[in-house]
Amino acid sequence: MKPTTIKTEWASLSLAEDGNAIVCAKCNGTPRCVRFDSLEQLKQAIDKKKISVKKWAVAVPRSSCILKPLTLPASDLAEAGKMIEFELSSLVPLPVDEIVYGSTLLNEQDNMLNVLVCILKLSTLNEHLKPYKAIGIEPHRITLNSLAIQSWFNTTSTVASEPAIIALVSEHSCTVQTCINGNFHKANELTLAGRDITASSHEIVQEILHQREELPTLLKKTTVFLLAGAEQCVSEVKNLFCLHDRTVANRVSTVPNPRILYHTVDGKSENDGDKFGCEAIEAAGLLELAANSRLPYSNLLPQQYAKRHKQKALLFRYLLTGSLSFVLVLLAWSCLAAMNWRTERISRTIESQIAPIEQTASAVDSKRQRVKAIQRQLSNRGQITAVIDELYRYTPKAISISELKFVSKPSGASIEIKGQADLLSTAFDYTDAVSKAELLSGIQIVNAQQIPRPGGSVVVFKAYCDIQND
Amino acid sequence: MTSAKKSREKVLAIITISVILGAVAFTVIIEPQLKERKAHLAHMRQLQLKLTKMKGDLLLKDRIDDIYSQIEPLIASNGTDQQEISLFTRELSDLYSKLNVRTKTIKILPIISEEFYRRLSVKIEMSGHVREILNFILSVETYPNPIKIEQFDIKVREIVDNIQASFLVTKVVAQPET
Repeated sequence: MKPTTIKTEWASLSLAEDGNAIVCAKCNGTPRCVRFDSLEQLKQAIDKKKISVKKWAVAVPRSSCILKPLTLPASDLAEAGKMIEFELSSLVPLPVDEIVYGSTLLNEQDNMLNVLVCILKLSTLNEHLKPYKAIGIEPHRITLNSLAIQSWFNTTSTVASEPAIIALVSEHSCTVQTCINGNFHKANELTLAGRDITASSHEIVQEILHQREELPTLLKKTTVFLLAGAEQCVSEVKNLFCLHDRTVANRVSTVPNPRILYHTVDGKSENDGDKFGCEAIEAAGLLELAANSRLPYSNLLPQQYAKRHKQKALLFRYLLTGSLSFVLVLLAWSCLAAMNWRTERISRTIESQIAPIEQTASAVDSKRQRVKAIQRQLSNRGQITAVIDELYRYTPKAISISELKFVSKPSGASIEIKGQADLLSTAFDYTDAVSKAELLSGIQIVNAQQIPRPGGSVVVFKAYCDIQND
Repeated sequence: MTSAKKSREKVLAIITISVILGAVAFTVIIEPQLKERKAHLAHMRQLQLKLTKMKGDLLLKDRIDDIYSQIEPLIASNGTDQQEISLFTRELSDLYSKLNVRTKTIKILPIISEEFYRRLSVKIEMSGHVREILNFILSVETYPNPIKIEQFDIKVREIVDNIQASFLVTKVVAQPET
């Protein structure tokens, strides 16, 4: 039996702090997360064709990126994307060819577009991609991890359209991010490793309050707070937050232990022992972004990668077209060759039927042709005698014949007569005179001419007659 | 503008290359097969026709054999073309030598060679009394061998005793057996 494998166009890959590699891919329409102990194990799975992915998506941590809001006179992000390139020098003190950037929409105001530009140093990105490259993965989509997390919350419908501050708390870190009208605005990563739960909770609440302070006054009252992560930690943060501001208690919701079920490559459910990790959420959100082509301008893929991917795709298409054309020509050739072979076979069969009878049939044919020739030669024998006999019997005495031509043809014979008469009427009466004749009844005067002679005149005529064979 | 031009040039180049490749593929791969097919079909039809004709010949074999046995002495070959012409002219000479006619010319025309028989032709010009000329015609028409007057031309001079006549007489003989 063929082992079950994951075969998909898009898959996301997220690396956990403990070195685990989380792969999220859609199998038969449902996302499936698979955990590998290390990237090396993932490589083995790829080599063994247990996972076959066309395009990979990876996330970069918020801490590696610089986020800058920018207002541009553009109608959409595509137009804005072209303008950002010229603004980059004013945003970061780095040459344009040493950085990569992506953008997301913040909001629209009149004819202006507020965008959030995510900038990353190319060297940092390359450093970040090194472990992926080492196992032969060249991503097609590189996105900020905060966008991936928000995408997951959007998909699970835990975030409504109103302004929201989301805190995703894990064992070692916490991400606090703001989104307004579903658009990502701000994010901050807190490192919690080595701290007790109270200290961590305090720091998280401070960050939430800080991000709330930065919101416009009008939005502050409607902002909702979503606390997700390890259950104990989340309830501690909620309590502390409500102590700070009692008015927000009804706007705080919690998602304790938001978990994504892990599977093995074979598709079986894996018991993860209630272990919670942001990486799975990040990978799931990343897959959602990549597979559905959401936030396409947030892609931090360097130009060289994009160009290489484009060239690969182009080459693949050329090869595919070439191969298909070749197959088509080959098929046409094969069809014709098969038809020729069939015709040749039929010819051979006919030849085999001809061979035994050829000699006899040829002898019969030669005899038949000779018989025909003799029959033709002997046909209408006596016809000339009969014609002369009729001429003698039916020609009036007033007409004298001076010339007689006879030509035998396959269909019959024809005669041509030249003669003389004393009168023109006599010449034309010749046709009446021979009307009772058997062979010459069709005689026609074709020409008659009166020629003066000493002492009178004479009529010279020409007659023609076709004689049909019996 | 330049990018649009480049793209248009690319499209044109791709179309040109495709057309050239298509033409080459057709000429090198498809056309020889098509030609071969045409030749095979023509050959097959020829064979089918031949077979049908042969089957027809076989059906008529007894009847044709019967007829042929009757006419075989008439068409039997006596040798080469030269020998046949010699025999033919002798036969004609036998016919007109008994009559009171003057032969002007005897012209031997080229032999028409068919697949299984030959047609010999001789043109004779003679003059004489109308009765003698008509006797010659009668003797040819009643001659047992397959001799036939294909054409003749009779011209009457001032006097009935002197008629100018020219005849094209043919004879059919079998091709010599190989």
